[in-house]
Amino acid sequence: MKKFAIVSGKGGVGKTSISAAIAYELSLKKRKIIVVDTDVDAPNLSLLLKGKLLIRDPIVTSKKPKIDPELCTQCGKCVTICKSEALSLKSEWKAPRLKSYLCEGCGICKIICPTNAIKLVDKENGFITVYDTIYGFKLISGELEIGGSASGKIVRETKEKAYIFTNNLTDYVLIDGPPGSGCPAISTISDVDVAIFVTEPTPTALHDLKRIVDVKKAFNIPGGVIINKYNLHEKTFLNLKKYINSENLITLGKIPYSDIIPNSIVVGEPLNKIHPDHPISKEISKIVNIIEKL
Amino acid sequence: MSNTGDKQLPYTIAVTGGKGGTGKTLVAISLATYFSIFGKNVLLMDCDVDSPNISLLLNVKLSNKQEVKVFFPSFNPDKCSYCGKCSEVCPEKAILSVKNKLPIVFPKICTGCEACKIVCPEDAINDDYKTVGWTYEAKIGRINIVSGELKINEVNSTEVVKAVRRRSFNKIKNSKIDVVIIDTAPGAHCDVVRALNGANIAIAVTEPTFFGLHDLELILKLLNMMNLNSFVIINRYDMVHNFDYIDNIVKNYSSSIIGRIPYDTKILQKYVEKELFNLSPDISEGFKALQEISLKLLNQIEQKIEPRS
Repeated sequence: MKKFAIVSGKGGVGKTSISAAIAYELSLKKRKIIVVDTDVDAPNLSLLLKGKLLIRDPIVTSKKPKIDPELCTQCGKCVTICKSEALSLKSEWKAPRLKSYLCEGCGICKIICPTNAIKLVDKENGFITVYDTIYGFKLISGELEIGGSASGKIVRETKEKAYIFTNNLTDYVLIDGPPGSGCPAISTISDVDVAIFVTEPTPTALHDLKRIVDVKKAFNIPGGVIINKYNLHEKTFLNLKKYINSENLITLGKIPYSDIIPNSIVVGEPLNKIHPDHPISKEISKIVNIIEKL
Repeated sequence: MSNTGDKQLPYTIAVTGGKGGTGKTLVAISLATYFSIFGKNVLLMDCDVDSPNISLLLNVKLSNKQEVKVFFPSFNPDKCSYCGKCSEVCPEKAILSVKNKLPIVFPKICTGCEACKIVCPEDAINDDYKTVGWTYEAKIGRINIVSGELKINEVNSTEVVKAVRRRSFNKIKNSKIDVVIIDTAPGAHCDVVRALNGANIAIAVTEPTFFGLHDLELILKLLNMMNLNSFVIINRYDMVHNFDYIDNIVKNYSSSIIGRIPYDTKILQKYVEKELFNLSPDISEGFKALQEISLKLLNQIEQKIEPRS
C-alpha cells in the first residue's frame, strides 16, 4: 500500500479537481483505493466524488474552560492572564464569558483561578465523515469546526480513521490536502510515501510551491509536480520548470487552462468522467501511470 | 481592531473568503491601490503567513525583518522537584515528565502557551524562546505594508499573525494611517479568526462554483458568530453561467454583494507580471469593477468616519 498526498501551497490551483480525477482514473483501473480529504477548513472533495454518507462522528481534540458562576468571585485574574483575549468580564455578569472562537485551550485560566471555579471540558471541534462513493471506494473527509483551532490534530485523526478502512488488498491511499504550508499541510504529508504538488505558472503559486517543497524536505520522500493551467504565462512557466529541475522533482504532467474544470465542479463529477476523451482526461491517465511507478 | 491605547483606530477592512485562490490578495491589493489613489494613507497587513504574497505582487522589497519569538520552557535544575505538574497541564502533551530527572520538552509540539511556567510550584521554569517566523515592513506610495512569514516546518502560525497585528498597531500609533486592509489566509480556522478579530467590516471573496459556495457559507457562518458585518465579492462571476446560488446564501446570512468582477485576462496578465500597483481602472472591465467596489467601500468609510469629532 502506498500513500500519496496532494498539496500545493497556494489555494485554488486545482488540488481537489485533480484529486477527484486521479481517484476516478484509479477506480477505472480497478485499483483498491481509499480517498481522504484533509482540507479540514474547506473540505470539498465530497462535492465531486458523490456517495452515501456512512458515518459522521464528532471528534474532540481540544478543551475549553467552563466557569462555575457559584464558585467565581469575579476577581478577573483569568481575564487578565488570557493571552488570546478570549475571556471578558462585566460587573453585571456573574462570571467571565468566553469567546470560544478566540480560545486556544491552553488552560491557564484554570491554573490561575484562586477558587477552582474553572473546569476544562472536552470540546467537539470537528467531524470525520465517511462516504461510500458511487465509484466503489470510500472517502473519508475531515472537517474543522468553524473558527476552530488544532487543525493539524484533526488532519491526523482523519488519516487514522481512513487507515482503519485499509487492508492488505488496498493499493493506494490518496489524500487531498489543504492549501498553505502550516500545521494541517505538515500533518498531511508527515507519513506519506509520495508528495504530489499541484501548481500553476503564477509568481504567487511558485512562491508558495517553494515553501511546501521545503516542508517536504524534512520528510525525505519523493515529490512530483502537476502543472495546471500551464499555458497561462510562458515566462513564469519556464521559471517554474527551472525550479522543478533544480529541486529534482518529477514533472508528472501538465494541464492546459480549460473551462471543463470549473464546469465539472458545477456538474459535481470528476472531469474525466464527464469528458472521457478530452485531452485533459488523457493527461490525467498519463499522470496516473507515472504515479503508479513512483 | 482591538485596543491600541487611547488613539482612535482607523477603519479596518478584512479580506477573506473561505476557499483558496478566489482572489483575496488581488482584492486586498486593489482596495489599497485605489484608496491610495483617492489620497488615503493605507496600512496593508498580510496575515496569510503560510503564503504571504502581497509584497511579491506589488513587486516591493520587504525590509526591517524581525523575529517572531514564542516562549519555550527552560528548566532550572537547582529548583525543579520533578513533580510533573508541568507535564500534566501541557495542553499539547509536549512535556514528558521523567522520574527524578528534568522534564523533556518536544520543541516541535510546544506552542509556547506558558501553562507549565504558571503552574510550576518551584518557579523552576525560565523563559527561553524559539523563533516561529518573521515580520517585515515595506512602503509603496501611500501604502504601508506589514507582512508575516511562518518559518518552514513550524506549526505556530497564529503567533505570527498576532505579531503582524502587534507590529501594525505600533505603525498606526506612530504614523498617519486612514484605512487598514487585512488579507487573511484561506479557510475558517484560528489564524483567520485572529486576522478578522476587531475589523469593522469583512469582505468575503468567492467564485461561482460549488466549492466557492460551500466555503463562502462556512466563512459567513464564522463572520456571523463573530458579529462582523460583511460584503461579498463574486470574482470571475461570468466563468459559470446562471450560478445564482450565491445570492441566496448571501441573503441567508444577512450579507450583501458589493460587486462582481468578470473573468479578465488583463487582470491575470497584470497579476502574473506583478504590475498591480497604481493601475488605471480604464485598462479593463475587471479593474473597473475593482475600482467601483473600492469607491463603494470608501463611501462606507467616510460615513463612518465623518461623525467622529
